[in-house]
Amino acid sequence: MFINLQAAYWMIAILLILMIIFMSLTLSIKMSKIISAKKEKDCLANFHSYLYYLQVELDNEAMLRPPNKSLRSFEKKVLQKTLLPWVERLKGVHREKLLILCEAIGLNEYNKKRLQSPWSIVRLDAAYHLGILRDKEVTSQLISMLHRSNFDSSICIIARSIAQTSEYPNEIKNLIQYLVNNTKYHLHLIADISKESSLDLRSVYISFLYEDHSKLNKIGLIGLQDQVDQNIPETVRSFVHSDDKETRILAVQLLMFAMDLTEKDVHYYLQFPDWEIRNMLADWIGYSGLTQYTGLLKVPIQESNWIVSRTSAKSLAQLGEYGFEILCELAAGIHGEQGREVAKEYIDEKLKQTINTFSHVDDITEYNQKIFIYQKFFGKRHDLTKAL
Amino acid sequence: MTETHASSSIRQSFKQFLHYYQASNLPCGVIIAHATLDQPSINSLKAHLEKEEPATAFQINYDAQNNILGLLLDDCNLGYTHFYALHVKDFLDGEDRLIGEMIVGNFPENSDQAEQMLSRMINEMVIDQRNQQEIRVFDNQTIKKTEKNSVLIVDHDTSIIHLLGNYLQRKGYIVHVATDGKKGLEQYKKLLPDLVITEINLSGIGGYQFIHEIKNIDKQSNGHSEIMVLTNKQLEDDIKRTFEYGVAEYITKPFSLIELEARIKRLVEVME
Amino acid sequence: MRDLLLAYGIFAMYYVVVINTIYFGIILFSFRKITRIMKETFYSKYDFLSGSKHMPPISILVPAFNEELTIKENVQSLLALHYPTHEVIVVNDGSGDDTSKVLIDEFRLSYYKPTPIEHNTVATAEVKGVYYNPEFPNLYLIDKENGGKADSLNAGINFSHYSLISSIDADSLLENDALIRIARKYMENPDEYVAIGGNVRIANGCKISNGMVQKARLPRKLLPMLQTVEYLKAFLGGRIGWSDINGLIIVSGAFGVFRKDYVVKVGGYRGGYPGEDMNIIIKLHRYMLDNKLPYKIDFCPDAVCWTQAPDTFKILGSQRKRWGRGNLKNMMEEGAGMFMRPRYKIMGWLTIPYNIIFETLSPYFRITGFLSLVGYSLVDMTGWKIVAVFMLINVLYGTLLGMGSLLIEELAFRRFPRIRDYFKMVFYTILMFFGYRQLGILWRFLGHIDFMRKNNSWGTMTRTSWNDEEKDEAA
Repeated sequence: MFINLQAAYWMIAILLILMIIFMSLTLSIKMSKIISAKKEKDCLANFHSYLYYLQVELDNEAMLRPPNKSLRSFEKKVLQKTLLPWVERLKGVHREKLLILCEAIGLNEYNKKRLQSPWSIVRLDAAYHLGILRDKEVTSQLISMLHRSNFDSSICIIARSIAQTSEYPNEIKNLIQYLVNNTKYHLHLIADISKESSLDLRSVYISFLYEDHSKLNKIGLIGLQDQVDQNIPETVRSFVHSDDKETRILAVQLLMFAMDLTEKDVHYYLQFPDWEIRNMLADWIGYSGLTQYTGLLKVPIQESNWIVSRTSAKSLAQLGEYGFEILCELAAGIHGEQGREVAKEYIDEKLKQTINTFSHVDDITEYNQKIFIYQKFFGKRHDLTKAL
Repeated sequence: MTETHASSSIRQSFKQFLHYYQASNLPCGVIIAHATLDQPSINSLKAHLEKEEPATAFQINYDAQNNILGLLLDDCNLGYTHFYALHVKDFLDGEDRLIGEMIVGNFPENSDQAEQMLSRMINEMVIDQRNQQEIRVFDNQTIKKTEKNSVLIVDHDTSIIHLLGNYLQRKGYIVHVATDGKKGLEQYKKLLPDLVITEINLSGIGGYQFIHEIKNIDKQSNGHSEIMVLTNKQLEDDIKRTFEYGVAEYITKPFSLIELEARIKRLVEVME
Repeated sequence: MRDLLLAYGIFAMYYVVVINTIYFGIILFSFRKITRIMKETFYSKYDFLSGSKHMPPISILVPAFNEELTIKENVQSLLALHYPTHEVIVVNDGSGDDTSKVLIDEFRLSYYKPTPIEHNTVATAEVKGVYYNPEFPNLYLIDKENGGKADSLNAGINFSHYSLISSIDADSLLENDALIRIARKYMENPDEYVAIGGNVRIANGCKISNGMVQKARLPRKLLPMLQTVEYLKAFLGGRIGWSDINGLIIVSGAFGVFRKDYVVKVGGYRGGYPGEDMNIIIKLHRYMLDNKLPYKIDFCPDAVCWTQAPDTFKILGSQRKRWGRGNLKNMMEEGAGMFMRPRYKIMGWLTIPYNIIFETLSPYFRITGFLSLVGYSLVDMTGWKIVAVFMLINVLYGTLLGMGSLLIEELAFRRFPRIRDYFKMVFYTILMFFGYRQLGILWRFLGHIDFMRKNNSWGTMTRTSWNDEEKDEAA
């Protein structure tokens, strides 16, 4: 009934065979990794003097020379593992020097060969390292590799390499467009990838602002935030009224970073329908110490969105005497109940903070001024003055 | 300057050459190695070097009494001298002749007194008798140890520690390192360095807490260390916050060693 | 009668073979996904990403109930996570011990009145206050009346500033780059990822100092060792595979990242019963499928969270009973409505049926099956061979699954590189079938009984301080 012992024996046999396969696979991987780790250690020990030479003479005018014997590919791999992290962490002349050395050692050639490997993981490894090596000759190969590759994480890795190796802003532009159209990446991730490039991408980002594609618009807005040149194209302002919330936020953010705002603008954005924008502006005023806008914070601190209200209070506390005075006004209830609690909280906090950092004469005068303002509103008797 | 010089045949035999380089203001490299050699092996070393680096003219001398091998390289800079020393070391290692360290020096990069430099190199080798078979670059100690500035580097990234540590050491700083926040604090308490270079992304305790604790220690001990942040963190908020904590400089990775050193110099000068 | 007993026993055996076969299929999916995971693990520049302006801020929620021993070190290590912008929100769920005080003293926090809650958030027990210190601007302590773990998470959600939230058990330790690894994955498809879980590993036996696992070591005690192999199998063999077909039913409460907007949309965490971590995931699946929204719930095995496993039978038993109770509740409340319903796709056809038939109901099949075999053997010894063969198949099958998971571990993660560790793990994988599994099934059954009796406490989970662990280790 229900059972065939013969089949059961077969089953046992199959299970046992699979177990043996799994076990021998695991063990052989383990062994080979242990062996290669040991080989790597020995190899590094051999290169010890050489690597010390590189570190010591990195700053010397003379060029760095490759090791004085021909290298096997395992040795190249070991050197690559040591040198490329250095390349990644440095910039300027020292990086250039190391890159010339890597070329001389033959790392570029080694990886280019591996770029043709039948194994996708080897090709990816090569692409990754060629990116760090800033090998200008492989960009087009990497681009075709990108177009062939079909899954998210590889695309990201190859795209970074393209951004690192490319010499033409136009290639980066195409890369960004490709990523926007073919992946579901967060736009900030795409921006992060394009930042790997050392080219000036300002014109690329500006051209994105004129595209009829909201994702490209946003990448343009994000990219421009990192540009040193603060001349912001006029069209950015039109994005403030975009239908898309994220675009609106990015546009205001860009204007803010570029300090391209008049008092009227600030006033306007502090009453903008999106709380994120109000919050951002309130934060920015305090953070950048823009005392000329202190008075404008009276409105947002009283609003019902608690995040905006708290941010405004925090900014007021950072804005010197006038800011403190406004907090006191609010805490005394002159403007009604809204914002009263949070104002009190930040007054307490500010006074406590000022007491704690009582080391300079300036602080004492600052503290006295604060107390003076405080007493104007609340009189002398208060637990805080007692706490002193 | 009164200094006792270990007598060595190398000094005698290189004296004239060094004199010549110094007088005519030509660069030259000096390599000395603690090794046991005999005449055949010296000859094969010569042959080896001529084969590997045929373009470089060199003088060779062996001081059998002190077991010191000396090489004088014509017209080359420190970088090349150091590289050349790798050839020498390869040969000595291969023949199993090396019994101690090797020292590399260059006129005028290491010292503007060629002869004196050689004497000191030999002195250090004879007196210190270090056993580890490595190459090091001659450190012209005109600055006394106590006058050197000390730096504590705190970062979990060993590449940074190696690069920055060696670089600053070459620039005359005393370098200490720690790989996480907790160890960094222990080191700090012990050493009270002039400058701390730290990452914000630390483990154990975070960078902010680390900086905070340092400031506390300073307050208690009435000491003062400048703090420089060298970090992966690119955010404005972090820059702002670290400055509020009293940090003097904020540098993001990847970084330029030259810029970093310039900023360190400025900080250290302000301190003095 | 005799035949009936045997027939039922054999049926139960087939049942176990089917479970194992499905599980084996899942492991094959895991293998399919592993090369992708390897690529992600090796070639993403986490160091640089962890300082990038372009990564999303995350609110970390830490529900804490009587955690005075571990909370300080934990918060320190959470604050030290390598991540561009994150806040740590500890929610003290009316602890009877000094959980709050420890934090207030360590970070010199001061009291603030709780802020009024916005409309579109989740209801919770009363929040008594918020503690904060501007010197540690990304640390908050919320003090609230006792309401359970789910309730604490909800309070944390209400307070959180950012649109991604991460739930973390107060007794677990995250690796420095755990958060950035999950965030990177999220960034690859922010519109569709609604939840991503991290990998949970057992910390017992590891060398721990400064709130970090310094050296991964296998536990020396029996129970934690068994749990180590059990977790490896469940997480690497199981969850990678389930996530590959988007049929993941749980993101561990110990460590996961969620989209806050969707968590709020499904009503936040459900209180009253354990298993809120499974509940929220089922609800997310259901919400997204009901609304025909494209989505993914994924598992990120390289984002590691170390947790302390119970090392006594009493505590382990109470944990497993809680799991059993929570699982039953989830299946009755959410699972039943999705069972075999075409609109719920993989969830409706595979995940939920698998869980109901092979997880929730397994104690009944297994216990009765076992009893009938025992009964049969008492009556008649001639069928022993059949019984033995079936038992052997089950043990072998189970061991094979364990070995599959170990192979995945070796390929991509290698936390235990020594060869002797491998044999030790294989040994314990086999050992699991002699007592431990049966005990687990019994506990699950007892959990069901608890459910019927409506016993709904948090359950005791006594913890030892991480530092004690350290001392043990040194001793």
